[in-house]
Amino acid sequence: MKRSAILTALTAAAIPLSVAQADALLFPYVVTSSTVATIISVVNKDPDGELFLNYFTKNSLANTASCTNQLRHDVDSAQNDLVSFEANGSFVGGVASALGGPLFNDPAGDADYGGDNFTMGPISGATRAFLIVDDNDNNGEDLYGEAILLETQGGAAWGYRAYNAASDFGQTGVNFPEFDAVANGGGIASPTNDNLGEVLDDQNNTDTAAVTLLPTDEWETRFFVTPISAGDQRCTDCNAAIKLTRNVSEASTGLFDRDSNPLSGSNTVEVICVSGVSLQELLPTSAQATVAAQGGWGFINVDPGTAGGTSAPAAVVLKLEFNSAQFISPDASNSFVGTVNTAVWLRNRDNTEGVSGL
Amino acid sequence: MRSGFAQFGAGGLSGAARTGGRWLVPLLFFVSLLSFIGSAAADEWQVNEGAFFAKRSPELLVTTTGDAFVGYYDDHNQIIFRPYQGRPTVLNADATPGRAAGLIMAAAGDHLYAAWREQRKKETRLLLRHSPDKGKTWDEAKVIDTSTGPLTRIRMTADDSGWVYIVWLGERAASDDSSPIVNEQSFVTHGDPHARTYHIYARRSIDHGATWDPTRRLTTGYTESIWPTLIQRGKQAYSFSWSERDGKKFILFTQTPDDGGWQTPAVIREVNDVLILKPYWIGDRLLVLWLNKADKVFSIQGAFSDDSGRQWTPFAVDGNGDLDIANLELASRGQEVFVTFSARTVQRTDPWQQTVYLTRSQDGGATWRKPEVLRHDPYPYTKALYPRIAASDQAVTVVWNDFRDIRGNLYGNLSKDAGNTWLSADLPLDTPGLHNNYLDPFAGAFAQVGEQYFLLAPRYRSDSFAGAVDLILHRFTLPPQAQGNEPQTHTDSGPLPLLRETANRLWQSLLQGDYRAVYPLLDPFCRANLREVDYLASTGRIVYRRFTIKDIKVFGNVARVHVDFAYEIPELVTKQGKFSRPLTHVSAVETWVYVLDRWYKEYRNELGDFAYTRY
Repeated sequence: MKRSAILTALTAAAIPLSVAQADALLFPYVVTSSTVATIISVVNKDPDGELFLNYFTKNSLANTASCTNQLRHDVDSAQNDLVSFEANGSFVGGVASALGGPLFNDPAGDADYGGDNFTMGPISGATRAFLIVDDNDNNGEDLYGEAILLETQGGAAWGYRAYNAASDFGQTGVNFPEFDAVANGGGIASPTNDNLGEVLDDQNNTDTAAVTLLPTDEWETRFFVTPISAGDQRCTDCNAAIKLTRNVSEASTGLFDRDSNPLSGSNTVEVICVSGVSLQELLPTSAQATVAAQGGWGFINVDPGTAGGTSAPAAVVLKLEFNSAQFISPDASNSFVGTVNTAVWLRNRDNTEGVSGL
Repeated sequence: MRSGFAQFGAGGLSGAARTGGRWLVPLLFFVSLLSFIGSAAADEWQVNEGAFFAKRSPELLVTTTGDAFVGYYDDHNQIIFRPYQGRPTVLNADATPGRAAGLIMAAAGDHLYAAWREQRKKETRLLLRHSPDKGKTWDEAKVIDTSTGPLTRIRMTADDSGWVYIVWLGERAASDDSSPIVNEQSFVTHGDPHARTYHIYARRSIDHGATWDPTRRLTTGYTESIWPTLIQRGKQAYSFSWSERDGKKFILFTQTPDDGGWQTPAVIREVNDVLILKPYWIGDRLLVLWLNKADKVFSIQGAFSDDSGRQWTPFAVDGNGDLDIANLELASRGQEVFVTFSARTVQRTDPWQQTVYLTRSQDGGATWRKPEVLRHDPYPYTKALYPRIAASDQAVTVVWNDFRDIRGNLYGNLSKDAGNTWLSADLPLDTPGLHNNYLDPFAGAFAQVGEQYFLLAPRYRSDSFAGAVDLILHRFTLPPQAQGNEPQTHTDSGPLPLLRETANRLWQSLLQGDYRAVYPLLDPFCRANLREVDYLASTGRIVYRRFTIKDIKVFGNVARVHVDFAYEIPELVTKQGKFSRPLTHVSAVETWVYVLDRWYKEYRNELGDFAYTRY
């Protein structure tokens, strides 16, 4: 712990953000509370065996609240290592106890981890965050990661694969730090970076993604939005906005109901740093009854933010769906009383079929 | 079953009795209640004999002579027509599940008309049936359209002489959209299958729907016309639309000249996004009302014409720009015009709930008062939505769906002086807190004929809001006592001591790990969705050590209970490792709700950040 803290301070003080830190992963949504946990797993192929964690946290549910940079800090690793940890130490493994060591039989007292603290810091209360993990060098694609978010009481869970931008080294001879402030033709939002269309980017006309919407009378739908900077992603107030549109070109706001009828209008919801936007916030109240009964479909569209933070042209958007009521088939012959909890990463890759969806 | 204003008594007493010590008001209220019960005429009638399919809007039709008819869908997607207290008739007996939608009904004298969209494989059809005898018999269904790709947004009007107009939104891409008269060849049959051109189409019959004029496109030269409207006076029909051309959006107007065709649409006004569009007659004045949205600013706007559409005078209602408006309903009496709506603020605030507003004009819509909150409830923590309005010589009456009793009830209020003053206490139209009623914002749901009111409202059978729903037609007259202002009687909370005792009992049970005792104290909406066995299976890992209830604040039937507690998760060894959490101190504010006669802790799913309650 002490070692890590010292390194954190040194790192923050001595290493300017433009210094190379690739390869890097973005975990766009991390959340913890007394009953919610996020388990992060990282695979590191880098022979140097280093991992750096950088959480950006906020304990406000307000969409436009800024984050706190918990500062980039080092944890030991090893080549071909897998390490898992809970972002706030809820499931502390081994003897590290509240210090936030690794999970799943990686002994926290082991020299490999040296009592490192993997958590987002001394956080109390419900907290949302995004996390950047990097390997502190510019030698190849070395990192892979996954996240599981789970409700510890009910056991509902969902997960996603961390985003690893393609072009760590987009310019020959230039250290190319992913997620950091460089003029890289659009940063990680560049079409050459998100090969699977993970970033919805207003700069590159890949800012829309098709989305289905289940009836809000029976399902809760949230859009977890993490604004993506064209430059430095280590940003506490990056600001993007989302809205619903009826077509890819975003000319018409609104959506379609389940009977193919177009509905006009959408609220534009601004997000700073990271937040969970409910579908109810996006829908004008005049459309809510339709979606409550039937659901619908449309496109999530990302715009640069205007809420006062650092305007960002892009965002990662995940759609989450929870069942808020029993699901009963129309003929009442079948019912589902368990908890559903699922997420879909909304993507667009130059409208490439299979990625953009439509 | 009798309820309505008669039930207002029982519910009102229950609410007043919760004042906890203020007995005089309940006593006085009880005295007035007896006279209410003695004079009020109210009943509720379950329209559906079998299943009611609540996912599709039902339709209430009340004629000027007070005959009431209801159209709705059953769970096999059959359209059921039923006169008040009469026998049901299936209008689409040959339908198979999933086909019919968009039901609209119209009446003229003894003649009734019902139209809907039927979706068949590779074809959608607009169908219409006519009854010459108030629904006793029905002619065979007529196919009105198959070529335009009719959607379920249909409007229909009729007059006594047999002239019937029908207007609808079609989605098929046109190969030639310059001609107002269309047929099958007017549309794209090959090429881009994703192409859509939303136009509004119309047909006319002058013989009660036996024969029809050609289909005409009302929005030729425009695209994205998505809100069809229709209003008729005598043999003439009028239609407004929100249409786009060259990236600009307009309110268009067209009408039928004497030859039965439709005039080329004229622009009334350039607008932004229009979310609601409705036409009305204010005496001889033709008025169109719309909800405009420019970025984050909502605006009630409109225009009127005193010369059948040759000249238009625009207007806008000031003071609603920060309100995200859910619906618009208008009623008029001479030059007095009343518009009611429900809305929440554009900016997310806490609590972020819809409530009921009213704005009015005394000069036929030329000038408007700033919208005012009509709902009489001092606490903003529950919602009220989708109001309907009726105006007569006796009163202006507004009814709405109100969740102040946690479950969804029906409430109303009325004014005897053109909206200047309203009853100081809103009137519950059924027993507060007993049922989960709701109003469908798209259904024809409210009508007044003479002193008789009709209100159509679905009702969930369960607090789970899943499964069976019944369709209830409330029929009532206003009790004479309701014609003056009444004292405020139903804004009070459940008793504080009961809440403190219940909250203590819940936390004591948590300390003892007695989750079986905790479960009944969770709100009924949670328990209707989360079985006890599932709840018990998900509990027990967290061990509570101590608690202190620090503070309780009661807001009507919603309370905030501030509790400090400590918990830990003892070490748990599994194949995946050891899990534990040390003693952790938490300070939390819980929400409790008062339903009917007791307090319950509102269950919240923290991962989803939602509750099962709907208020």
